[in-house]
Amino acid sequence: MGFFTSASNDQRQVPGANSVAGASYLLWIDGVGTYLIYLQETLRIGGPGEPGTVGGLGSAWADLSLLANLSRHHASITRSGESYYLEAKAPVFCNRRPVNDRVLLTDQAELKLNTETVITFRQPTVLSASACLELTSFHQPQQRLDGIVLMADSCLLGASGENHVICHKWPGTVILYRQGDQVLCRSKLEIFANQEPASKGAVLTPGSLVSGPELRFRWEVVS
Amino acid sequence: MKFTFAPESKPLEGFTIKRAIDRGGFGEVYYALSDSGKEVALKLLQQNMDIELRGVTQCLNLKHPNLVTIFDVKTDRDGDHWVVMEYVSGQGLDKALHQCPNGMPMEQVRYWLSGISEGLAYLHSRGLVHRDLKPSNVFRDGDIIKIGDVGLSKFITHSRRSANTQSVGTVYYMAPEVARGRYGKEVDVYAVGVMVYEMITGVVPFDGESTAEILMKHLSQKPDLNRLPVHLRAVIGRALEKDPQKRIPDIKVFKQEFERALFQRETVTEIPDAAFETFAAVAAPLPHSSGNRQTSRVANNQSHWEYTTLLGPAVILILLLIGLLGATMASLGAGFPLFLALILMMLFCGAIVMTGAFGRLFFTKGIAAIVKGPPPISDFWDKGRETRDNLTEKEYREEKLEETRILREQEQKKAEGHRHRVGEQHRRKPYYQRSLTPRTPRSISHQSRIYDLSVSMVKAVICTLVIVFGIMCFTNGAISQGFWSGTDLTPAALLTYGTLVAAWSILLVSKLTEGKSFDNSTRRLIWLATGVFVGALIYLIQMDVLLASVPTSRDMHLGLRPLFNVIGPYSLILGDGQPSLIGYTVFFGMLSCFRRWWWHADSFRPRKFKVTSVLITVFVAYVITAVWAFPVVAALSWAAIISSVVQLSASWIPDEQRVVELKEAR
Repeated sequence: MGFFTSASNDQRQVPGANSVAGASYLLWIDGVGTYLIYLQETLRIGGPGEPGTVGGLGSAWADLSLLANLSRHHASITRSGESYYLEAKAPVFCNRRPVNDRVLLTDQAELKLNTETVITFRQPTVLSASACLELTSFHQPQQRLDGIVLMADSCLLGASGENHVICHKWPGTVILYRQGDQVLCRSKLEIFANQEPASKGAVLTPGSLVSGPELRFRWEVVS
Repeated sequence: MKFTFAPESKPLEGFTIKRAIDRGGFGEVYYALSDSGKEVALKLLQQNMDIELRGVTQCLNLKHPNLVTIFDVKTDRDGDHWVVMEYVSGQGLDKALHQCPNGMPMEQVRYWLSGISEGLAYLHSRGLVHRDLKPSNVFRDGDIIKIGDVGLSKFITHSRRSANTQSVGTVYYMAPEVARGRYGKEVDVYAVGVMVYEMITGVVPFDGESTAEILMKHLSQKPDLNRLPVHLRAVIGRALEKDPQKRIPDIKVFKQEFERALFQRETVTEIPDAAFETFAAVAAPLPHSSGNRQTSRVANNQSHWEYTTLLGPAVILILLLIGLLGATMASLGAGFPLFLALILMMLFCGAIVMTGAFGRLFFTKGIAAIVKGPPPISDFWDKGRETRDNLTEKEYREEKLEETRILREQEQKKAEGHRHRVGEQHRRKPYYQRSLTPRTPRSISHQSRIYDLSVSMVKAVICTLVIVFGIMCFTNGAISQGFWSGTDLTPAALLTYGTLVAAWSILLVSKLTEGKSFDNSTRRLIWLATGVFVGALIYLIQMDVLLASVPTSRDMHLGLRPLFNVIGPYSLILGDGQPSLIGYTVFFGMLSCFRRWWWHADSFRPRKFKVTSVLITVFVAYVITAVWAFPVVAALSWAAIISSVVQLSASWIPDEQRVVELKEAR
């Protein structure tokens, strides 16, 4: 979990290393921000973990460990087909209504965990089952994030609002997609992954640097 | 956008670049993490380095929550200078402006201005001037506004919200005196004035094709304040003064005056619409008075108005009640217990009337008056006195007035033009009042009237039968003893038929007149005629159809002696206590005339059923029987039942559907 320290130079982040899909990745996008790409079906959200167990984003109890007054495992978001369900383990409100057990999430749903922490759920396009979480109330994990993508089959990066990650100044769209255990990227733009042409598809390995006209991002494994 | 350093670069020892943030006028900015995980912004100085360095070193030890903290200035192995700064994650004001192209909500403007003014005030108090305030240098980090880029060059460039700063103040936000090379903290006030103008309107006050054109406008042209709300023109106009001597000298003063202008405006407009008509004469802007004066006049006169307005009707009501009481007592020669009971009953009825007439005002202000006591007598003569503070305030306001008078005149002309345009639009376009009441004129189709009337008449039959049946089954008191007795149900039939005739007549007339404008006297005459007709019809039913008589009619008068037993040569009561034709017509005529039956039955009435309406109808019936002879029990029963049946059976449209109904009708 050393993605935010110099430990990010460890073996896992070396381009060309094994491309087996981990649970989550970080996208460092120039001029845009930092996004967590989460691949698992269930995302557990909780408060700060026990110091020293796991750092940055997760903890021993939660996959997304926010610096907020939350239980260790406060809620879970589970993907089921193309739908997402919010499961409450502690006080949770969805669109200002208390969630007793489980609730189906819709686009722009406002999730309030405990009294202050607000997360907005977004499903920007019907073309993909992936969804996004925005940390609306500014409660962040130890590592600051600009958003979280719950990636099902694909993740769209581009300028318009229908992308999972909105990159205002980009001239086109880059698609990240899953193929077996691997995550690949392709685009109509002329892009390169680790200086190799990647427009027609290239496997993203931890530490891959994808660049193109007016765009650049780095793909890092978290866990 | 190409950047020099790739992610995971370590040009500066101890920091790992993770991604690029942006490129500014002085160089590139990166998001980096220290070896221990602290996130920072690293600014690589590439252009105008000496100037930036000079500014940055001045600000190295400044600490304020509204300023972006500069941690250090470092030099890498290649001799490049890096500024290590606090990383601010939130949105910049430039992006916020981009999202609101027609201007931000005023709450947002206040929020941004509040943070900017605090940060700038701190800088100014340390003897520093920012000199490069612009939207791209102001950020929102969580709930905190932060000002960045403290440190500048001397070159002027044509850059607006982009981060390309090579000037002492980007040209859109640059004060005129900067071009002459002499400036102080007023340049920041000017820049904030421009930003506030842009936040409110969505455009900068001076725009142009080239830097020179914009500069020229800053130097010579007056800003177009007509885009701003009237109450803010003076304060923003003063912040945008060309002459720094005339400009608001301090950012805190600007913020205070801005808030004051805003507050005054809100105080005036927060008067509810309903109250505004009444207050119009008081609150109307005097030709030579300031906004402040208007506000205080409204505030001071409000309570006085309420007391005096309440006083008149209350006195009339009390006199009326006393008169009635006297008349009743004189006719009865009653003892003290009955006297007390009557007083209590009249007080109760009076309270209902007051509630109906003044509603919330009566309870809120009336009770407040009881709790707080009446307004001090000094209020009545102290209005004219002015303390020294007031005089100072007055002079201050007069001063401001001089500055804004021309603007006001322009605004009045503009408002007249706008009113004319709106009037034209209204003539062309249907206009719906915010609150739709039975008074709202509207067109209703004949089919709709007939359908509503049919449904209401059927409902009236059901309601009447249910109520009469309920009375027969569940009452065993004065009503049953008075109105019918034993197994003879003819009087009950009279009650039923009478109620039906009255309710149907009321529903018919009110449905025919619904949505039409009548003056009050015409409307009352229509209802008087309706009542006379109803009374005559009930008399005919009693005498010719049912061949019934009101049993033990004398008991039904409860021993009351009305003021009039005859009208001219005609008696209101027959020998056995039965009401005569004249008695019926007078009672129903008066009941119909004095109550607003059209309000009872209108589909736009405030609520479908109001108990107070029933009680008031009963009270009116009681008053009528106290003046003109008519069996009291029958009168009160009919009044209560007719009022209930009419309300229950008449069609009613909920508030939220009324506009839809109106639109459909059109």
